[in-house]
Amino acid sequence: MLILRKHFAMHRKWFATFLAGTAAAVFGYFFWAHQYSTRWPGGSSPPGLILGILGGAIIVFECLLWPRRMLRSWRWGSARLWMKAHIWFGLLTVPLILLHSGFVWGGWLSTILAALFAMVIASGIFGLVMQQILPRKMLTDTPLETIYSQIENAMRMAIADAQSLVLATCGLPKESAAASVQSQPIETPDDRNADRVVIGASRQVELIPGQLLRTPVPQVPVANSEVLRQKFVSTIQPFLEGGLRLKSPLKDRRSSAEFFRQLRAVLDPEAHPVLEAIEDCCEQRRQFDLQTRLHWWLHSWLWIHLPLSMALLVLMFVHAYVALKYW
Amino acid sequence: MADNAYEDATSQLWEVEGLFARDVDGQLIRVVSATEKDYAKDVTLTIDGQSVTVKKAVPTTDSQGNVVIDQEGKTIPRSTTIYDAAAKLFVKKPGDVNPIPVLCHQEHMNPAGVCRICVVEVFRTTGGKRRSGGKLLPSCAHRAEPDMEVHTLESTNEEARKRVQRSVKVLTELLASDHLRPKQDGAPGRDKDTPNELESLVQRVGANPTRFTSHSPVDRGRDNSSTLISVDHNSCILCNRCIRACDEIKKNFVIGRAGKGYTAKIAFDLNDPMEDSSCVSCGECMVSCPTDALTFRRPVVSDWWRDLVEKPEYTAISPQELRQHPLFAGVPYKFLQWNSASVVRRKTKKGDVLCRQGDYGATAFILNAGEFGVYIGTPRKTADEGPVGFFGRLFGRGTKPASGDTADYGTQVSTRTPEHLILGEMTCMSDHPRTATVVAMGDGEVLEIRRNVLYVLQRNPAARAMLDRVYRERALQDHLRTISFFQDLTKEERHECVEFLRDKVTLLRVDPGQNIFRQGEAVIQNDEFVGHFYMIRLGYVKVTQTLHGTERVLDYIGPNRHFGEIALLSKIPNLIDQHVPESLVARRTATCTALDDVELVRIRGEHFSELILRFEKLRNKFVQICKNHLDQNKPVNREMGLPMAGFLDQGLFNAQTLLVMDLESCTRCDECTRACSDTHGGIVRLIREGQRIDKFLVASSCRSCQDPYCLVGCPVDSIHRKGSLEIVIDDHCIGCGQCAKNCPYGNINMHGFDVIREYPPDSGCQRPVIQQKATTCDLCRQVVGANSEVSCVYSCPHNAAFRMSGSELLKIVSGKADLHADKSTRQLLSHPV
Ligand code: HEM
Ligand code: SF4
Ligand code: SF4
Ligand code: FES
Repeated sequence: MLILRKHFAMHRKWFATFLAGTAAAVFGYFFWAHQYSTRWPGGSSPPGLILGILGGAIIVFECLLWPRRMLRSWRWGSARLWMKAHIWFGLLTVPLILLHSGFVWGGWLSTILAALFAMVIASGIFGLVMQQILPRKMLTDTPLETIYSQIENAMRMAIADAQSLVLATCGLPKESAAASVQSQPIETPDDRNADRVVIGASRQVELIPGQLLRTPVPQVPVANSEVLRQKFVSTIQPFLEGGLRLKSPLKDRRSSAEFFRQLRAVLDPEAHPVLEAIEDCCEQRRQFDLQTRLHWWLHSWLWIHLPLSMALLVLMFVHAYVALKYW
Repeated sequence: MADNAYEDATSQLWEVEGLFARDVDGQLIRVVSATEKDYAKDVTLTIDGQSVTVKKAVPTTDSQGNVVIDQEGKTIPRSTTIYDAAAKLFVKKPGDVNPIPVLCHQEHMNPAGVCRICVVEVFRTTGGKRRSGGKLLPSCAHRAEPDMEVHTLESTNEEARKRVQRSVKVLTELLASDHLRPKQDGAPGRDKDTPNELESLVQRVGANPTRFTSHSPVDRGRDNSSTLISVDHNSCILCNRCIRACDEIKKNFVIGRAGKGYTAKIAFDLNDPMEDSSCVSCGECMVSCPTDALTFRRPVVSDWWRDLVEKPEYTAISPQELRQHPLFAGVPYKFLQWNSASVVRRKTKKGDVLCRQGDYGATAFILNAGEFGVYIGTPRKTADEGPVGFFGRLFGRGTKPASGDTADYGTQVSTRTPEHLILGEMTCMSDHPRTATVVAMGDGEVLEIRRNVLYVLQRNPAARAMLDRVYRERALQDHLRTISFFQDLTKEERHECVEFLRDKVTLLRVDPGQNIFRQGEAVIQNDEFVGHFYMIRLGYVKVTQTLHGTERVLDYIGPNRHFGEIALLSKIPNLIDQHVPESLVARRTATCTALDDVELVRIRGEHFSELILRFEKLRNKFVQICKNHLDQNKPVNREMGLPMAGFLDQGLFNAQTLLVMDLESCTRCDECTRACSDTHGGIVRLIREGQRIDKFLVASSCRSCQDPYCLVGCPVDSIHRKGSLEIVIDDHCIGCGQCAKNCPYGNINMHGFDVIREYPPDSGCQRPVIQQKATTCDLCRQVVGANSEVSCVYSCPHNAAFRMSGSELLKIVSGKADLHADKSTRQLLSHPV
């Protein structure tokens, strides 16, 4: 969720709440400490206890974000409202818990708890920072991005297209190459229909108005284009399939441009549009790979944040039970 | 294969140059092509002693009577046929009977001329004498020629009449003896009491259906595979109606022919069983079939009908009864049987409300008895006043008056009686909200019909002409009441203006892409002043200007705006005190093109100038408008700040609820898609892919177009606009895919639902099949109600998903509005730029 600049308007009240909450806690705590205590009041002191209960309640609330997310069709407040509350109440726990601790680690349980808490907060803030930066980067650097789960599908289709372009340009392969450039059947999305009776129109709609860019495909194979097929089989196709995992001249935008420049020099101009289309496929692969990486940074921190916060929740209850029992 | 299929030069010549050629289906056709010049030529002929004048040719129209335009934007001339002329002469209103019977022909199809039931005797003057041409001519396909003297089955010339009668009778008997099968009682669509078209013909011409039954025809078999339609090839007379229905009307191209001679039959794809073929089960072939060869298995029943007939004031109406109604005389009986749940009869009492102003409705009312008051409320809030925006509609619409006092509905503007035949058809035909509230003034009876019935009614030229007349009249009246140009006038002045214009305005319909006028066009053509004033009633118009060879979009204008003013200055030259260069007024300075289905109200130049000379306020306003225009025109023109062409190309101007994602905030977490899926039982109605504009992604999800193309042509009327903006697909969808095909943005998807059905039909064996149904975003209204946020927006944790109209998006992208401004301010911005 974006917070800064234009977006801050939406957070203003929350930020104020956060500041007010922090100020109240700090003031209350230090006031009490100053009045009634000689050292920093701990969790068992009245202000510590109150702050602990508040902080604990907030942590429970923070964890409720998970069920809220799972039960999407329930109407218990919009997700953006929850998110805002999550962020700002989450941050508010920092002063609350810190003061609750009385600035001591305590026993092993509370030490673990504090560490967990720190990691949860850190990962949360890390995620939030990623959310400020990465979507913008995707907007500029991966204009060809697609839905994350569809990346491999989209690439498969692009490969099939590229194969047929090569086939049209170079003609049917000699026996040796035959096996590799036969286009593989593309899986239909709805394979379960294959052996079942389907009533009605099963077509999905493909119509999108506006300009469609089409590659002019040579009507008859272009002379002396065998080199394109060789390069396709040896370098291009493996890159399209494997992407950045491979060592390939196509990995890098600059060396890729050079690769295609050389290829263009030896090919008849008639094959150039096809070459451009294939070059675009490689660019698509690179962008998809970049998208995959950015996606990872955007979302994988949650794999720390979520399990740790669950652990935190459980241990927090244990901590509360133990603390109250031996109070 | 050899380059040409013909062995020698002579046979080639024959094929190319002969009087007959073959069309794409291999049908022999006569090649006499009409030209656009023929539209102006009159042909006068006599039919059964009465003289009739028709145009030599007319533009080809589609099944709804809309003119068809070819790829170059030209109309396709079609010769007027003898049958057309007879229809003009004898069929004045729905229910009138054409003296020429037809079997293979239907008025909304191109003639095939295969059955010869429509033959007529034609006398012409040859060698100074009037005599028969020798051959009887098929009137459905033969063009009308000057000086023809046509005799039909009902001619007073006994000799001619007998000749036609004999011929038609024998033809009918031949068809009947081979193809009339004993009726199976109880089988839907084949009921005993109601004859199919072939049987009706037997009765009409007094044929003996068993005259030629001595030989037993070849058994061509049945096809029981389809769950919608049962096929009995033995009843098929090969009239080609189903083929034309499938190929030409629905453009599904499934049906063709297979076999030769006695075994010739219709075939699906490469003679596959119907269910295995690419048939989409739309039923068009079945309702077109004049025999029992294609019949439906079970009638369509909608929830709408089921709910209504539970209520005491509503009753079901049987197809037999409906058929008696003159308006339905031209509607295929099979359609009425199949869709009888698209009509209900309603008894009304004083004060009953038929429909409410501002509501979206999918029904029209045929008035059988009683009187009905038409009320118009003020202030009006309808789509005519420009898009109100999603949230505006959300909260502003559909609030119903609590009391039954008619004062709540506004002022009564007219009274309708059965003489006016129909009410409420405007909403059905234009997909815009109701423009008036209709209240019963006493006991009465109406038939409430759904849109699919109206479509089929419109196929019949007589009914279409009647509906069209009514529509035009009402649309103009409605428009005159709301013209924004008259805003400043007092009530009395306004009334005077409206009275002045009442019979001087014309309603024009313009198809998408058609030019209204072109830049550089002279405003005086052939001594006639053609610089008219146009007001937009429905739809959007694009204004472009070409300068130094590049076309630029200056603006796009929507409902209740006007254009074409400047040219009028040449009619009233001294109106403004500033020098206007001749080049600006003598010719149109920009091109105006319809962006979607546009309805224009045109005031002729001379009437408009009369009007503004008469009313000072209008004159001042007009002068102001012209001055503004001229100022802006000075160097070149103002330019829209955005990839405007793309905006218009993608139809965004028409959109009211675009799902827009701010790609700077969106973390691609797909929560929106998941929420959509979870809200709709696992069937997602949005795809997070689509066009990008600036930093926004316009996702694929229903955008509630103002002019929803998807609604057109659903055979069972299961897709419609409910209470406010949302497009809803009811459960009785038969999965034909028409709506998905119609949606230009790919926002309707066909989804396969697993169901247990008796399959094959009539086999008694239940098995799982996949029933396709159309699915689209319903703005979650059916799930969460009208006042809640749509799930996709509601569930986006990052405040990245928004619903807005196309014009709002345009404003935001061009920096004239703020995305993060609160909704109520955004809603104010929803008028076109
Ligand atoms: C007390 C501490 C916290 C707890 C117990 C906690 C717990 C959680 C839980 C259970 C989720 C749900 C994960 C899901 O929806 O799958 C979550 C998500 C999230 N948390 Fe926290 N959280 C805490 C503090 C914070 C803080 C301080 C921040 C940021 C300043 C933060 C940022 C986030 C974000 C951005 C998400 C959503 C990630 C996404 O939707 O992509 N959290 N947290
Ligand atoms: S809703 Fe669409 S798919 Fe369903 S019957 Fe109507 S046009 Fe066909
Ligand atoms: S829910 Fe919001 S952030 Fe997530 S993918 Fe959808 S628009 Fe983007
Ligand atoms: S109706 Fe004219 S030939 Fe069949």
